[in-house]
Amino acid sequence: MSMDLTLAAPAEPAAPPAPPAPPAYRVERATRASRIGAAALGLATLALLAMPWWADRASIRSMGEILYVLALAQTWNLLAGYGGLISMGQQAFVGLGAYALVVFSLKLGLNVFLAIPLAGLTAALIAIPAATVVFRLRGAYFAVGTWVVAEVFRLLITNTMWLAGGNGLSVISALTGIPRWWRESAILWFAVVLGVGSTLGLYLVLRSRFGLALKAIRDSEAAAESVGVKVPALKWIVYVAAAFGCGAVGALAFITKLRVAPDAAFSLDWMTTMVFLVVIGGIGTIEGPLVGAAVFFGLRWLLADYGVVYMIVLGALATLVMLKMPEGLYGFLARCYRLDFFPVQRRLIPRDQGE
Amino acid sequence: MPALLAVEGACKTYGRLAVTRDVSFSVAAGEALGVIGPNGAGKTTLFNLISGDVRPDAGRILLEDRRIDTLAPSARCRAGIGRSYQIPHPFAGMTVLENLLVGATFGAGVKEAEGIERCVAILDDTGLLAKMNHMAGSLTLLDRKRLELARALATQPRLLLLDEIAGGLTDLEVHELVQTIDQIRQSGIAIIWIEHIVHALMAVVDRLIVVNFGRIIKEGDPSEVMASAEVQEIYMGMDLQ
Repeated sequence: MSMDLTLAAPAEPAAPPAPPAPPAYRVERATRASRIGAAALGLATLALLAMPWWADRASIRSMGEILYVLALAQTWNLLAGYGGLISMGQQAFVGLGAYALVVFSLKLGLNVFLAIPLAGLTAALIAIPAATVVFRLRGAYFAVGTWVVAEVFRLLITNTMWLAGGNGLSVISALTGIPRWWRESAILWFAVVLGVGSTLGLYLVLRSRFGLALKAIRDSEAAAESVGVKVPALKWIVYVAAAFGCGAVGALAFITKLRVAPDAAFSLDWMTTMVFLVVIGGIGTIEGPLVGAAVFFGLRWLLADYGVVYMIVLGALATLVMLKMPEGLYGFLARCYRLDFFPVQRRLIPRDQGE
Repeated sequence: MPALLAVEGACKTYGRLAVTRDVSFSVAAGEALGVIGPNGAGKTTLFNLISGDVRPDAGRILLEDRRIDTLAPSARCRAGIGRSYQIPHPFAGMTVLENLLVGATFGAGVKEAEGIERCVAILDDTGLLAKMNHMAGSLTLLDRKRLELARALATQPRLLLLDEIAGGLTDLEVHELVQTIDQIRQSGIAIIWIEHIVHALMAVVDRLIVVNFGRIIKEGDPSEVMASAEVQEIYMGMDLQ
């Protein structure tokens, strides 16, 4: 049976069969802004990687934090912005990553930096059984359920004496053999890999076939399922991938913090920071978390001397953005100025038109 | 002719409300079947049972003698069932072309390059070609309805479920849409079409079923069904004695 509609097209008088035409369209995926975006991202990455040679120690340390927080935000952007999974329990995987660092470096004697990818893998592996529990829940119940799961992990570790329970332990001994310059540089490089890598990774994923399905899920789960997208399987992949990112960041963050304790590792602050960056910047956009990170750390730097005022300003800003521009700062600007630094769309351009 | 789709004794209950009660019917390959009935009669639930958005409490649904009632909606789509929603569900943040491409790559399982060629042909047939690079969220109601149709076609269905696709459109727009749907039917795709705009339906369908209170109360030749006392009662409110 033929399903080819072109065969059934209007019953025109029998015309001689047309010669097979070359494809009349080409797919255009870049824009002017995107070329600027790609160049800027490339240059910024090089500059960041070279920081140990041109920046002071305090800046390197701050940049490391900005980058790993950006990585966290991108994982939540993927989860909530594209997968429709509003998890409020991603601190579970940050904490598990931190404790994976403890196990791999202190207990098993592996290199601390090798522990970073292993911590990501550990978190991803634990996300698999966790997903089977929380994926039974929908919407707000899912958010609460993920939070509860995070608390369960925190309590489990608090009661594990092998991991020093609630007191926590220091990872300094795992770092002693590494010269200071190398330690600080490696922390930065890993932060660049995670921060830039998560942004670039999200961009490449969204441009792929898989990304087509993710964007469809973002816009309508029911319709995505109805056109053949295996929505539950994709959500599962997204959840596990996000756990990997959080676990790797957890290990890196606590290499810089030097002391791992349950309350800090499984702190809700990780979660609120991720949500702040994504919501302020623009959920479901690649640029959003970048803007969110700039605002978050910019304000922290500006208001560093005013103590608690910083939190009040952040809260007020978050409320204002949510009320006045629910699409986030970047979303708002992108709509006004038609910006698209990381285009993931496919536009068809007729071939007979100029390049 | 062997049945393409067979629904056998399908039942669906929400709490104490039986929305589908022992419904059985079949559709032959290439056949166009119309479904009418008052609001709340259970027409959309019937579609949801076939497309997999809702699982039946009892009964079987077969596509070419293969049971599909336990499959996920995405698997039923890949098996050859395409659907449109009564309230359009466009992928608003994607271009019109990309909306179709999702169906072509995941539903029909073709490669992207090949899919684009097919999608362009479908866009041409459904009158959306000029808007292929527009964001689906910016479309008018007519174009959203066309997009529902086009996106379902991109999955290369053998059976197309149309849920009030003409609802809310002007007469001229309905006329255009009817022509498109007739073309689809002529290309060999079987159609089940729920519609309140009966004259649109009558122009296309081979057979009509009437649903009320979750049951099929009449089935047969469209004009005979429309002329029957049961249908006159429902539509003209003449059961007051």
